[in-house]
Amino acid sequence: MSLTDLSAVRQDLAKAHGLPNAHYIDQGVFDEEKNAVLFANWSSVGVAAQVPEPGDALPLTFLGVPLLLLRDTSGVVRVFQNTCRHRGMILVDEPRKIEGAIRCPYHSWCYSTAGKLVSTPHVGGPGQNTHPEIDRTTLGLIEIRSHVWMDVVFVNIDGTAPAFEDANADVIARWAEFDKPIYHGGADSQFNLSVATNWKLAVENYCESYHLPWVHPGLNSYSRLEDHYNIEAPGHYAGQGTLVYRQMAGDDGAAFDDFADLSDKWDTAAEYIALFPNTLLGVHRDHTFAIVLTPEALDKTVEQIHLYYTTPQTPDAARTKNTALWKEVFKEDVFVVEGMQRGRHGPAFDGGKFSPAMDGPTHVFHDWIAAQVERHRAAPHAAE
Amino acid sequence: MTARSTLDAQLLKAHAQGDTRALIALYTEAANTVAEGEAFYLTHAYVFALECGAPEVPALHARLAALGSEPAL
Repeated sequence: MSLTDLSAVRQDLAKAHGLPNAHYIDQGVFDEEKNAVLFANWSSVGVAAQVPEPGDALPLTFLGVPLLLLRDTSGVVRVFQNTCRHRGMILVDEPRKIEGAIRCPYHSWCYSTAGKLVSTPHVGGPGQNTHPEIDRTTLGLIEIRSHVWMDVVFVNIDGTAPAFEDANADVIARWAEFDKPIYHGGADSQFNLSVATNWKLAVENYCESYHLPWVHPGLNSYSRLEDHYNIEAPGHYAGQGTLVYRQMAGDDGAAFDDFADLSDKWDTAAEYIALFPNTLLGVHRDHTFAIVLTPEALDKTVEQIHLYYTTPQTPDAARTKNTALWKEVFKEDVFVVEGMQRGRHGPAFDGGKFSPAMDGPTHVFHDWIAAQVERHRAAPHAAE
Repeated sequence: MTARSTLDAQLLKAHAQGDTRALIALYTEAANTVAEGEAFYLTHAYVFALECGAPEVPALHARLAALGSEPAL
């Protein structure tokens, strides 16, 4: 693989070009970004609400890595490599409740939900479950570094990222007023969209408000372009905000409870932030949402959308209406992210020219991606 | 006491049905009745008890530990 030239991406917004085509259509670059961007930072893989009870286990695959999202018996959400320490067998094949221990279906090595190896049957011969060379204390499940924020489960696969709270201190402070309990809306408040695009294009489209009047004309009546502002935190996150959010209510007039003690700003403001690399978040006075982008291939991404509220119980009509509203908006974006993916097979496309006024958030993301890739290339392991 | 052939059939049925509770009981019974295989069958009972968090875990572990098959707690 020849290395892409990222110098144009690193320019100031007015002079910069977007990431080269290869970052969307070249398998070698995809693999490079896997390590440089998605494994080296805090990537989301799911939400804690997917394992609501102690013992709930959900197997996941993130860029080929088999993971097990699990809530242990003490209630702590953990992420393990879903691989037995003995012969590398996949431990849990489908979502289920772990009643006691995780038993490998191959030779029945057993692990606690905290990952401790608790039994190694016949490892010393029939009926002999110990052996001097089998030190159970060193053979627990491989735990992946994880952190839960806004109910999103983030993992740092390679273990090199700064602590989540340090890496994301700025956005955590920005949204400190929303640091209160949130409650998943349940089965009717989640949906997936499978999109034929590179995962980054979903981030880029989410970051900017420039497209809103053209792609989401339904928003125009109450949310005009000039009612939005760019959010740019170079090196960390980007997004957009609106000044005219109107509180959601069902056709029966019932609305959601607001977050307690919000400042006046949030009466009509809402913000939508892409937390790099692959998490899209939105906050409003009465609900939040999280979108987990799972790259399934170079040109295939699953968008997993979860909606949250301020109370465990919410009005049914308002909740289903809210899900329908967001589903409509996010589906309206599908042709755009898929079209941009196809467009990047045009060999003369140069990454694109940014609007200095409107594309700042997108450039912040491109510049961050380029910085991650350059850092990876400069590291000693890059030559291996 | 269940005849060996009957026990075998019950074990096969419990395995086929994924009936962990039955497997714990049947392997414990096998350990109690097949003198040469006590640790082997107890191990199976113990593993299935661990898997489902059964109340038999401490007692089964104690028996295996006494036989030198599992480390003492």
